[in-house]
Amino acid sequence: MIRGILLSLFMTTGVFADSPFEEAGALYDQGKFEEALTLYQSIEGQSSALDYNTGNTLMRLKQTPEAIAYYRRALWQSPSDPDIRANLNRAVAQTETVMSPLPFYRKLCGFLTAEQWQLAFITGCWIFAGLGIAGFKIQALRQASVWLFPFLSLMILTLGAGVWASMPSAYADEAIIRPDVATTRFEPLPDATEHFSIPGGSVVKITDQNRNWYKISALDEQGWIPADQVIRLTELGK
Amino acid sequence: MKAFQKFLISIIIPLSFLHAEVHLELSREAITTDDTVDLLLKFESMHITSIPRLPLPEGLEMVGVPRREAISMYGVSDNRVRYTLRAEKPGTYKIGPFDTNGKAGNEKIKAVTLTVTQAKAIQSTENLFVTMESSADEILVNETVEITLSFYSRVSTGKIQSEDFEENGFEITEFQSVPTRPKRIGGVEYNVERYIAQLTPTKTGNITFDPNFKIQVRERQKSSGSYYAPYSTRIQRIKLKEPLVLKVKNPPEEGRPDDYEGHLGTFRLNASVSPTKVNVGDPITLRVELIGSGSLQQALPPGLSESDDFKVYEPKLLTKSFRPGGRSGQKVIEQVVIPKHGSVTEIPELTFSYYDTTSKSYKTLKSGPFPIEVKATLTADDASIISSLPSMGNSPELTKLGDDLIYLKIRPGKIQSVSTLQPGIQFLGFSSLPFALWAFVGLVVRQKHHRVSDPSNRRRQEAPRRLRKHLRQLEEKGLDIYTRIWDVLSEYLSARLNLPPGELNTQDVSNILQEHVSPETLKACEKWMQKCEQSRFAGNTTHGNRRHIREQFRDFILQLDQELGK
Repeated sequence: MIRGILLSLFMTTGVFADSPFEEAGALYDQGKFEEALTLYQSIEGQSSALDYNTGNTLMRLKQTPEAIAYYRRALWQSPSDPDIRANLNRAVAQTETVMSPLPFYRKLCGFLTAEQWQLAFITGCWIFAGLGIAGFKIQALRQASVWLFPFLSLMILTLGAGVWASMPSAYADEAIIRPDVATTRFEPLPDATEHFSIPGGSVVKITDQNRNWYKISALDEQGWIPADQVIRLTELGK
Repeated sequence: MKAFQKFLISIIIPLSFLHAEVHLELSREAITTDDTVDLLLKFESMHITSIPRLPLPEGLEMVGVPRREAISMYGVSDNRVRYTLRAEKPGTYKIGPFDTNGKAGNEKIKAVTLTVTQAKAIQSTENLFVTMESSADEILVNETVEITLSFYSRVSTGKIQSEDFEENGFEITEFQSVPTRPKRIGGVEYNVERYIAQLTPTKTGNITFDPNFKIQVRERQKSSGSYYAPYSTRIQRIKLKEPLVLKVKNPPEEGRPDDYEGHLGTFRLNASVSPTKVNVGDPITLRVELIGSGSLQQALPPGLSESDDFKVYEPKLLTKSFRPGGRSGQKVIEQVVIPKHGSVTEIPELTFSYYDTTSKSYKTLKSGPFPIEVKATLTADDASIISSLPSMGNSPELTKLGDDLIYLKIRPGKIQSVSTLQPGIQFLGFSSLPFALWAFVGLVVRQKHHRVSDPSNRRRQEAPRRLRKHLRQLEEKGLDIYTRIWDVLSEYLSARLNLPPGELNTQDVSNILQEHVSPETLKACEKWMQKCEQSRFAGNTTHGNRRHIREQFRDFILQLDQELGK
């Protein structure tokens, strides 16, 4: 029953969209990149493979900053995938920017997906509480609680950290610069004083928002940039 | 030298493995007096405990301190020590060889040679300028030269972007950053960023480089004038101080061998044949090794061509190893050849012709012929079958044509909405439920434990049950009814109110009960207690029906129990 509940929790929202995915791949093979891109972007939801393929298609269409954004999001989901790394590096090399690496904690927990971390965390909670309940009856467990409790607490904390690090909100403030060179300003106004320039394809962090302007952090500087000049990873495909 | 050897041996031998190897490697084979170069002392499959001091030839000096680097894979550690060197004067410096004379296999650390040329003099007063230089101004087609791109700056710079070179008539590798020292020009010190690439022209003519660069420059804001003024970054467009022009020409026609295929450099050719005693139709492996520097990237060791004597198969490239920079290295091929008849006595001579850029002349390397014994054991029909085998001929080696994207993923993986990836209420519910369950079970267990471990509480909890048992005993004959009622009442009240049974009195009971029961019940209780006391001290005072009294008491005590139980 528990298995059924867990499966329903994690599987009901998962959609295996083999058909449009494969169809888009066939269009890509035929060199119909525009059609392939439309089809990839029409697929509801996200996966690292879908983002990777969309990135490849955008690379073929010479839309490198957009491709970098998709590759970057794919990398967040599968940090250890060598294909994503290779193509992202290739895209970054084209823009002659330097790609900042993923945070160390995301790399550390990259061997599991977000849902696997959640499942592991729930399992850990049940094991922890189950042993706690069993401890009311089993004397040996109560005696072992001196080392078992800290160990299980550490396990729960670790799994919780994994859940936190794999959440989409972890990359919610990341964005990619869209034009070849973008100029930031000191204020969110079109005629404000120019602050610094940043090449297209660069990864920046969004630290604030004011109407149609984003405050970005890059190169140890912060400046305002029009919203249409950045691609937020959380808004890809929308 | 001896001191170094002893020192090296004392480190290497105790810690060596059977297949350990030690060798030297330079990050670049040629530098200018402005540059530094990394010398790597590599210990493969070997641990080292301290950094050896290298005896360097006169004129070479070490920059900074050596750094130890370790690479561990599958439990085997490769250690290496990186020494950064520079030369004050141009010349050719031979580093090594060092002989360890150790038990670990008599490793001999082979010498490496570093060529240092005089850096070109530069005159400039600009804050930021770029130069591009070539290791030779006149080069031959297919000859590889080193292109050096140097950015000199007196201001803080960031990223550098360059427009793509239009690769027309030449091939060029990616520019790699090389370590460089600051340089004084006109008495002012400039920071230098240097990049090198290998250029190989593919046709004759002039090649001109005059690219544009975009450089990020960080400056304090002039408007403020304060030392603490914030930096601003701007992009400065800049061109080369002088365009670089390379003259590319063909090697001279004079003395050109017939089999010359455009290769340049300095090469060695080695070849071997195995087995040398075969029957007609048996395969013979021809192994050919080409070692050298120059156009080795484009060259392939020579193989045997199809003939009346031999059926030949496509040569297979076994090894292709290049030193850093890709200008020198080794290529090894293996080719299977089959003698067609018993009168074959040798594998013909192999030749490789090239233009020696050092001696400025054509040279032809030769290896063989290789004598073999072929025994004719096949019939004429068998020989014709061998002849009819598909001829592979010499086909070009497999080359990597380009650097492209890695192909699409075939499987989509599990496509999910972002809301699913974000932990929601279900996740919180499933993860907190076990702890809630734990807390609930803990509460139940604690209550149970409390009940068991507290005698007064246990008496209070058990009082109603014991009351019903005692009420049944009221029906038994013998003893005065009020004596029996007193026994029941006193035991019940003492258990319920946690009072000592022997010290129960009406006043104490009334004081406690008045907070928990109705006045009517309290009054009834007092009445029953008084009756019992009268009976106890005045003898048998039973009036009326014993059964009726019992029923009245039952009604009263059950009402009291009900009210106390609320």
